[in-house]
Amino acid sequence: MTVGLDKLKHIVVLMMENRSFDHMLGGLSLVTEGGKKKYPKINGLTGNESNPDSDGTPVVVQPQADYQDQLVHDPDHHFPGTDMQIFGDQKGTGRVANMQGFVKSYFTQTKDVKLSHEIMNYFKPEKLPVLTTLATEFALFNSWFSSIPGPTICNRAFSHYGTSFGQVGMNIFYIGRDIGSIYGRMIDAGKTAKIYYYDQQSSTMEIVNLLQHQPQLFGTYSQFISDCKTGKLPDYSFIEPAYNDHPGPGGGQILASDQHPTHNVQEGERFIGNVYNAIRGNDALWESTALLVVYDEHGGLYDHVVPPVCTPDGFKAQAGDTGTGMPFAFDRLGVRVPAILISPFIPKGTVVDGRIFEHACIPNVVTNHFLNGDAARTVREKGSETFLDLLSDDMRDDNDIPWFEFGG
Amino acid sequence: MSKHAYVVTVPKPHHTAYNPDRPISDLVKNQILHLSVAEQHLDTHHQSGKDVHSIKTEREASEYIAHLTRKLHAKETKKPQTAKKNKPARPRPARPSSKTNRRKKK
Repeated sequence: MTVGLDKLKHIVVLMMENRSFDHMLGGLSLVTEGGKKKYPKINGLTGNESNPDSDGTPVVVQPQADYQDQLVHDPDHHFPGTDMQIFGDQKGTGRVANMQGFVKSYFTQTKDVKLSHEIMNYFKPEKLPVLTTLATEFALFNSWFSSIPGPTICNRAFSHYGTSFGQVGMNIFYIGRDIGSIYGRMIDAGKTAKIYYYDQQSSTMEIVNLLQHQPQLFGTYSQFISDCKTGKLPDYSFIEPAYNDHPGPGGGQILASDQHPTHNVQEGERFIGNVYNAIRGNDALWESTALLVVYDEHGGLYDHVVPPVCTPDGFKAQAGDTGTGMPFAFDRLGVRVPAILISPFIPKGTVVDGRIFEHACIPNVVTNHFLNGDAARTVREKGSETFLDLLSDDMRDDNDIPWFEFGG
Repeated sequence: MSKHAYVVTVPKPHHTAYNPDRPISDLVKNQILHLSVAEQHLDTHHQSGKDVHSIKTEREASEYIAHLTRKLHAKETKKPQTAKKNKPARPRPARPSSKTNRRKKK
């Protein structure tokens, strides 16, 4: 066991919304220094990737992504739309995934050829100082995929349960199953776990399953900040950003921080930075915590990496439920998303390559670390990758660790 | 002056970024639909009486979400300790969105 793993007392997961790897971090591969690639191990963009538009014209990726309201339509990320993005125009069996359907998929919403091209935009790294700093300072996963080529709720279910119980959409039928949530597993074993939602106006996406029956598992973001300061953070924490713009206390304004299109991406940057600072600001907590920042799914935005096949979780979605005319056996992952593991025991510039991660890894890691793997769970979760081996023996010098300051 | 040696400055969003009158996304729409299912487990006098299909903006959604979150937490907090000995009320499964969609079409 490494020193970093031996010291680990807390795992914190911050799950953001609806952005693909290439959209947020693909531009890092184009950064040069002294005429050479600065980050050669990162599997980002070459700048030549393209998708055909509805006229058949190739649309090349562009560093034109903007913070807010650029994508006037929330890009389709439901199961049939994502299927089209991954497989292009191909139908039926024997298809080969090619990531060539993003522009055509967005055109079905925009009905405007020029607007449909915006799905290929990515951020210049300097526009995202928090995410790119964390990605290049700690461990960036080259191959973390959403669990299902589909929308939010079923993907988030994999981070809570290690399965979506056969759902590929936004329905919540996974009540009373024999596989408990990671929170239930922890509480039953005498450990501590909490979901911190931003505030009551934003609340949680885990409503029926958790909010109604297990309110003791919930806290607000201000409680998270307080728990970090006082050293009362639970063994496992899951943080939800603000999901809507709404009035704040004393006439203030709360901006959505989830980065879901078309919410402001800069506000999400500040939220990620604040979560990081809250942990980093308490020395004892900092050296005993691993923070994972990960996105739930790609939000319909372009990524160039074909999602791999995976171990099925034992469930099957019928053709009538997928919307594609074909059943789905949960044997392929969704589109790649940004994921970064942060700890002072992670060497600077770590890039995790050649290993496949998805959201079922989260309950797997937490169950293995805190519960010795003792819980009922799917074959898929049990067989998923783990990431705590990334914690080394050596704690980095404090002067080598970034701190975020929030300007005007 | 910061006590940290390695500082990264993060700009804040433009002052026009705040838009609570933005139409709700599919995600928030589903969140309030799920909450409306949970609302059915509240005593009648605690229910909002709100037709969730009339919620169009993020401001309206946040008001409904806050109301239900408070009520649902209060409901669980007020449960007597002995309640655990009784057979817990079986939660009704969420209705499929197809049904809520049918309502919407009316």
